[in-house]
Amino acid sequence: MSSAQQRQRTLQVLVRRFQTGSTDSPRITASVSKGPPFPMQFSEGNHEWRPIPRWVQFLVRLGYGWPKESGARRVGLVSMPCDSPAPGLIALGALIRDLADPNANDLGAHYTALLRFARQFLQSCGDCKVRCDPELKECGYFAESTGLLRHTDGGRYRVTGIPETTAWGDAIKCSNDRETRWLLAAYAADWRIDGEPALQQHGEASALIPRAYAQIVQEAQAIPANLTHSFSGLCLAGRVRGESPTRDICSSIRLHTGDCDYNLVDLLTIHGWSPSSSVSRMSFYNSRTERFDRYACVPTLVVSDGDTSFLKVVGHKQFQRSDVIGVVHRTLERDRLEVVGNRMADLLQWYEEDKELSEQVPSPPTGITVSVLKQKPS
Amino acid sequence: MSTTTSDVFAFLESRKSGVIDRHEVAFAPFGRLRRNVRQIALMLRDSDAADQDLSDRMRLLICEWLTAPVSFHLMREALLAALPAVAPFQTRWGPELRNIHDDALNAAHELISLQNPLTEGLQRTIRQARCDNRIFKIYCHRRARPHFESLTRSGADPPLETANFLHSVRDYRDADLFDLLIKVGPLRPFGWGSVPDAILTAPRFSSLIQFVWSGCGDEAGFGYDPASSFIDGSSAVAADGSQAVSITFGKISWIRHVSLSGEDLEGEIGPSTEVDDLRLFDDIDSHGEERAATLIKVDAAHGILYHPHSHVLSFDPDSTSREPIAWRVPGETLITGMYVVEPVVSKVDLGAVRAGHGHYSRIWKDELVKARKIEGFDLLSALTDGGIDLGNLSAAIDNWCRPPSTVIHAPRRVKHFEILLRVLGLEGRNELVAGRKSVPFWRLAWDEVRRSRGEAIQAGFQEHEIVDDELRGILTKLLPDVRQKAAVHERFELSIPATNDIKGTFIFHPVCGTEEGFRAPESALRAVLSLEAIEQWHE
Repeated sequence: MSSAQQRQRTLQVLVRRFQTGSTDSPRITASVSKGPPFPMQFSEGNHEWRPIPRWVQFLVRLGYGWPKESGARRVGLVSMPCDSPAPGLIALGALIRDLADPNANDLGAHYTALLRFARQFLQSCGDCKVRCDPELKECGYFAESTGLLRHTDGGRYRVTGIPETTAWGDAIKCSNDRETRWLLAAYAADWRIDGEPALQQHGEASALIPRAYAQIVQEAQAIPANLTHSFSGLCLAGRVRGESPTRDICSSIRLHTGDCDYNLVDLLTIHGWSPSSSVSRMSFYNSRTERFDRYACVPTLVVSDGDTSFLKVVGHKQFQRSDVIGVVHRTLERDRLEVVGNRMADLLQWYEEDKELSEQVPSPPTGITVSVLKQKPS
Repeated sequence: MSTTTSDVFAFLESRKSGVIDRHEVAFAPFGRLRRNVRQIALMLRDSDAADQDLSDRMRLLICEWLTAPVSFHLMREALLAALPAVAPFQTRWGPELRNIHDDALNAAHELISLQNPLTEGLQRTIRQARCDNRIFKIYCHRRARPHFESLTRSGADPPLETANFLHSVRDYRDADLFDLLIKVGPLRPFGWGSVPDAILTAPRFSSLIQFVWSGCGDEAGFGYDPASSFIDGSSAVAADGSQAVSITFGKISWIRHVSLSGEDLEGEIGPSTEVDDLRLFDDIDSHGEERAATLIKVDAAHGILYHPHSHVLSFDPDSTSREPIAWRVPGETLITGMYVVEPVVSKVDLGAVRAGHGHYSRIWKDELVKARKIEGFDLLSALTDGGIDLGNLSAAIDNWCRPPSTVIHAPRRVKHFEILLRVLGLEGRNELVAGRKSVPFWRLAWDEVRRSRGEAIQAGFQEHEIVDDELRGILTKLLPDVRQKAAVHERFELSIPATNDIKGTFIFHPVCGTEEGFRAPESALRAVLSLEAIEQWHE
């Protein structure tokens, strides 16, 4: 069997496991509630509970309704009247959208990513003296490969080799001070890069809670398997001051239904933000350090928080093919506003106003202005 | 309790339309003073250094008078303090200027027994707001605040409190919702008396009461929104217009009522005499180029101003930092406890640092001297036709021909410098910088002039971009030495090892604090300056 055929078979195995539930874990039985048995309530900054306000609905809907795979890159700019958790809410909408997409998971590319990670470590990072700036070293990589992998049983291993062939097909040799194991393509889902979210959650207890998402966008049809699998195709780019300010302002938003409270921070499932879930449906790009929270990340949609973050993301090599929704607020100095406006104006050389999408997006509430540009056909 | 996003939206949804009450005040005696002071400022602006200072002072006086309720007797005092004694200028100034000087003083004298109509209007507005239990705030320059505080100093009114004032966009951003904003002067995003565009595009209040002297128009384009203005740059705020105008920003709407008041008994004020001084001065002097800046304090008495989006070479002494040496953004990623690294490089083929006060100037000054001697070539006309509109151009050329000393004598404005070099035939000349990049000669020469004026240690930093990577690479290799020094010294220097192409020193300034809210000319950025000097650019 050729290597290509082996990979194809591996992919089929992974997809089957994704659709039916892992053979190692119980079948996923989570169901998505269609209608709200309790109207969802909203609170900001520990104020009293109230119905979800229109500005929140709009932002969530904007993310939810953002088109996927149209072939042309889009850059949107949302202008707010004050500093706000708007990026988190737009990202939440996009997350709910992705829950309904059967392809929105990292399964297909997982083994390839692990293989790339292992190769980079063995060929470059393992003996590199610079810790770590790929741009400075001009090594061609976006981020460092530590060579450390973790198995679902908890063991941590270092990549020690990639044999050309093994009896089981493609494999990565992993060792620690006690043993050596082979990371096989067919069982790649049992491995992850150390420090990153698990590819999939074994066990229902800590899967994402569908009811919360279903009540935020009631027509959303989440695929049960997506609630237990990580996804890196959606990215939240934090403020240039670092991760904490973005997380802090998101934590001011809470939603309540029935007897459950949900914090926006938990709903976003960003790795390390919440202890409640080990799967992550959204990657995080730290605009301060210019690093992702995971190794293999080429998102299809990036939501950026703040003017500087937007400017960084729009011009970043790794986001060249990603849609971008930038969120800025208008209580800034004119210079800063103009830098953002001028960046949008620069894009008009290759982009045009996406009037079609503008018509589809619900009318924004007073105080929010939205502009969406779409790449012109070449 | 701070205002939440929901509070802001609830307010915007509920307010329907905001109201701008624009009170335009015409007052002939003040108009006379303003006209005379303006003329002095304009006539002296291209004179020698002493008169240029006087021109600047006259300009600042007018700017202050137009954007704050300055009492008339203080106007006169300020004018007397600024104008020189009579004897010296009689010999230097022509009769026209002397007459204007006398007229200005007479006009100021006429005013001292009168009350500033702005003062009356403001007092009435404040009393009414208090009577109606409305929360009001006054947006003004920090230095204009005493003039506003004097409005309630008579004893009849309770004094104004700190909470009644907004001085910066940050103050505005942090303010809770309120009822009424009071502003003296036109709506403009830059320059003296500027206000954030957000007051129209992101209002936190329902009414704006604006007092302006006649002739002072709001700036076209005020109310900038990055999500819409880049497509439709036209402003909803018209400088002129009917008495009641409806204005919309996105869905935020305003209704503007304009009322005219004042006294013009002799019909002196008309279109021919009404001049928008603020716009005029912005157009003709460099203060129109002022930009927002963030201050990095490097010790108790000194600081460096940076453009808010600058990338500053810096060192983070935190041992856990993954990138100890990096380009960081002041106030955002460059924070207290880190170090600003100032590269002072002296021997690299880099125009910006080769200045040594005179490398490029010798070339263009030689050309200038030659051009004056060419028979049949009228240098004066060529420069005038080219666009240099100085009244004393001949004297200025004499000055520019002088060899460089501690300063390089050259045109004050970049536009004039560019014209001069074009006339001298140096327009198309380029220089290789760092042996790699071709940079226009005039730009390198202008940077040299700027540095000679002590305007910025790192002027012409564009060229530094070429060696940015090299500098960072060198610093990364020096990291152990940097850490060692940082453990012992607050401020320290490190020489660049001789093995590198770039020669010089890195100066490490500790970041003792950061502060936003400055507007400074380009020339003041990236230079270590005293905090006292920097204070003049505080918004």
